[in-house]
Amino acid sequence: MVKVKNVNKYFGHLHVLKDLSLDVSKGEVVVIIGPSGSGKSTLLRCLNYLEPVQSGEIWIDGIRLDHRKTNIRAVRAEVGIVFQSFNLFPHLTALRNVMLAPRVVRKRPDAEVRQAAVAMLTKVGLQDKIDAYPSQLSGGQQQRVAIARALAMQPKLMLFDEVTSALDPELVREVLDVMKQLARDGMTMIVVTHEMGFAREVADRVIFMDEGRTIEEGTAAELFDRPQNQRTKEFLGKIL
Amino acid sequence: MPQYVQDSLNLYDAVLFLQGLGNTVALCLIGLGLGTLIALFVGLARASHFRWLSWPAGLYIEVIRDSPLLMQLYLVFFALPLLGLDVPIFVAGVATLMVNASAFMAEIVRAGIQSVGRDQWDAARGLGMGYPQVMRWVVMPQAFRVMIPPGVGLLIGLIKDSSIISVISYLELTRVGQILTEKTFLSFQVFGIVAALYFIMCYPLSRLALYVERRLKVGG
Repeated sequence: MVKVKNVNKYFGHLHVLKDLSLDVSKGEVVVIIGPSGSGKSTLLRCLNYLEPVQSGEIWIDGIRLDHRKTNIRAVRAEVGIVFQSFNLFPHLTALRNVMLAPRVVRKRPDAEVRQAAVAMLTKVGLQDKIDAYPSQLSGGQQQRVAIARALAMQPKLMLFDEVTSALDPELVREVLDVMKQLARDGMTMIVVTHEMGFAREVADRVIFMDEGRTIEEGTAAELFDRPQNQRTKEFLGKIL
Repeated sequence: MPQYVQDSLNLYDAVLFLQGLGNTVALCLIGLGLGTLIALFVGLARASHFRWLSWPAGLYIEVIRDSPLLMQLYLVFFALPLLGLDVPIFVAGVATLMVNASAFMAEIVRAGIQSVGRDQWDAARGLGMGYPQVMRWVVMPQAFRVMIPPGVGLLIGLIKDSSIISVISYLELTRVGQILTEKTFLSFQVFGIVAALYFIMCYPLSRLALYVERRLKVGG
């Protein structure tokens, strides 16, 4: 589903991703952990080309991203992304947030889109908030709308960029529960997070990243309980 | 001894006032309307990441913003005919207002667009939307809210500044005031009425802006 080959990414002189490679197969849930500034978020942003890369190859479902002939927008429509800061459209209700992209990108009829959007908001437990504006929702509710909005495009791959980091502790669970359900439904997911419990429960694979490289990877049990690399040990020592 | 000076305003003068008012409204509706439309495109160009779009837009805005409205009017009315372009008096007035409004409004449009954060672009582009779709559905609706107070302020200012067009003898409201003052010497009454008529044009616009702003605020 995702194939990243020897990718290098710079911000000016800053070398953010260093010769990074990654493979994710269909239905797999991959959790990426690592200290801030290690390039995790940048990697996710590169995967739907919100950021271009300077060298290397990124393939999503058999389509190479940084290719002249590639329709980036078509690829993006297949890759859902959820951000740390929710990024809901503040001028639209929850329902309209979810409906917008299927309507204007997929150009599906209004009634059909509305029905699907209501179903999606029900799935994330917000059926009674469909007419609320983002400012009237809690952080956890906003983030669930954001997930519903991404899912409404029926993506093949979902990217989660520290989606619970901006939430009050008591609101984290409602968002993680939605993500766990999604994982159980067989969605291919790449999740950048500090939630180790979540990683243990649903991750097929955990990757530790530091300074733009993947340092170590394995199952949650392997990586958390028997880390091999010194830097992995140090990082886990700080957060566990 | 015959009296040459009229000592009160009569029905003919009232008709003249209405004619002046109508002409000012026509000038402003067409000039400011077209100017705002042009400003939308100039503002989009100014906010663009492409230098070849933003640079000329910036030059256009600065050249017009930094020269007096009166000079622009003279240039259109007196200089263009020298180039062989015969500009009717009404067209000269409309063109001047249009050009002036387009430059100032373009800056308001640019500021509005740039007030919408990068997170909104990320979210919209991440959903597969292209530039026109992001602009139409995500950025502009939010920018519009920010643009209303300075935009309406600008329009009100330019409605009043349209009085400058009296200097090329177009029979708009201020010119009517000058004519009637010369005829009656009732400068207090005449210009009082002129001022009141400008107020009647501008005040509803102010109220409308406040109303629209409140309506749009519902979304937080």
